[in-house]
Amino acid sequence: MITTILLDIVYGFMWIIILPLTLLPNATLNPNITTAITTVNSYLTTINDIFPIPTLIICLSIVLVTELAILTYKGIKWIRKLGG
Amino acid sequence: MYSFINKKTTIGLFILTIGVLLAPQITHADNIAAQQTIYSTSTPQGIDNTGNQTISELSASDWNQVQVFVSTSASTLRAVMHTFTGPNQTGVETSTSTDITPVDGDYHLYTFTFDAITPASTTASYKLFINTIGGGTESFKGSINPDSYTGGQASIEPTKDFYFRIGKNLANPNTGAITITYPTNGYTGKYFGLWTVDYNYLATTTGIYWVEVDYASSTQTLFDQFITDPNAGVYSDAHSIGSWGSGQLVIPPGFTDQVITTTLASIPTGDYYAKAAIRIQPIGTNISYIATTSPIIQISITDGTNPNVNANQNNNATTTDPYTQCNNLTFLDTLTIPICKLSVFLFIPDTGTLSQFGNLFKTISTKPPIGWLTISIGLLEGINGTGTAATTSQLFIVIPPITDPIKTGIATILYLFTLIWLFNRIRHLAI
Repeated sequence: MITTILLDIVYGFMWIIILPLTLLPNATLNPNITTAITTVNSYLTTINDIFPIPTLIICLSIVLVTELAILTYKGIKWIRKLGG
Repeated sequence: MYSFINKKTTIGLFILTIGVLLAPQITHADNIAAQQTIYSTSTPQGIDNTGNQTISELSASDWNQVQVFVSTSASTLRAVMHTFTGPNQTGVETSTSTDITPVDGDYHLYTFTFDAITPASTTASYKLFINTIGGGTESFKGSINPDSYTGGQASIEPTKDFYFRIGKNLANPNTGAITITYPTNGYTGKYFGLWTVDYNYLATTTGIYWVEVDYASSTQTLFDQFITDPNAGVYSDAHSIGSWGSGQLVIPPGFTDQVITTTLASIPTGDYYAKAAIRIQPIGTNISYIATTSPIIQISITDGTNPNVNANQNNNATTTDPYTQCNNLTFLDTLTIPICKLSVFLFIPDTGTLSQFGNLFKTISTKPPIGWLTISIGLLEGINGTGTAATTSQLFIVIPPITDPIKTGIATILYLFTLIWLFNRIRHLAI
């Protein structure tokens, strides 16, 4: 029960933080980007025999999400300052 | 109240949020290797009855059209797509196309349009049925080109059903397709002989056609020759599939899903490399040649007659429910069981509480910017191919015993560099 309540509180905070994103429409990629990725996929498949492309994507994703998180935090902090 | 949301609290919540959001994404990406891609926007090709190619659109992510060459005397044609969401063609859901009125009794390429193929899934398999309405007979030629999928496969049942599956390796669709689909790793018997080979091939010459299976023990030093030489087989066995004329599709007799060639040689248990081929002996000659070859698979056959499984294992099955597990306590049970149950009640969260985080991620994974990332990763699914143990790629001769450790090493280094970067980034974070 204690853990459940704590997790519910954490979930509540996360829900509030993420709320602006949930109001956005679903993400879609420009068809040209989709075509580009699909085309690249066929070439990467060959390279992937030796070099782990999915791992590279994961690492780049970690970097990207971390930087986005820092940027978002700084943005919220800036808004808090504006509000006094 | 305002001081409650101080700097440390905010940082903590952000790290927690990012961690929870990132974890399923990483898991999802790690599962790429286990999945087959069905998402494609490239243009698949059908092969008409003269061997010419026609471009058609077939995309699983936007999968609403299929093109098939049909010759029919029926008044109306209709396509029905079965989507199997479970294993062994279970969990079927159907989608029906709009009706088409055939041009005449000759072969024509017809485009069957669906409102939606549901569900489009990376793990589903599909079957397409062409129904004739208003009587009449029908026959089909050509195939949806599977090379639009990374490792797709198409084939045809001669009299009724146009059939294709996702997720099998494919040889050049211009010359045919052949794959070994069984055995896979697992228990079989002390000796194994039940090879299963899927194939289709548009005959360009009149002759006798054979399915040939070549195999080599992985412990043999000759297996590298077996891999690099498409005509080499340390051991071979062939199964006649009959005579076919020019322009005919070579299809397994009695074809349903696949041909089971029980006449091929039995091999003892062990580790093997194997490949299948279509061999042609033109009429009037005594010389045969290999027309198309499957990718090489690696199989490990274990004696199923003596598996290392305890027959009473199921009787000893234990529940994983922590609350019920408390009843297993024997030491001072009248005291420890209630304490255990109280601890579980207080500190073990229920599954609903945990799953709501997953639902939160599902929601956020469809929204920008993480949604863009999710779509991109989805498009890159299948990059690991079909998991065949040894294949000849366009750039490298891939020998798994050599290339797999290299790949694992590079992956480890990448993860290590990322962790070092993350550590330094957070250590020098100026907020």
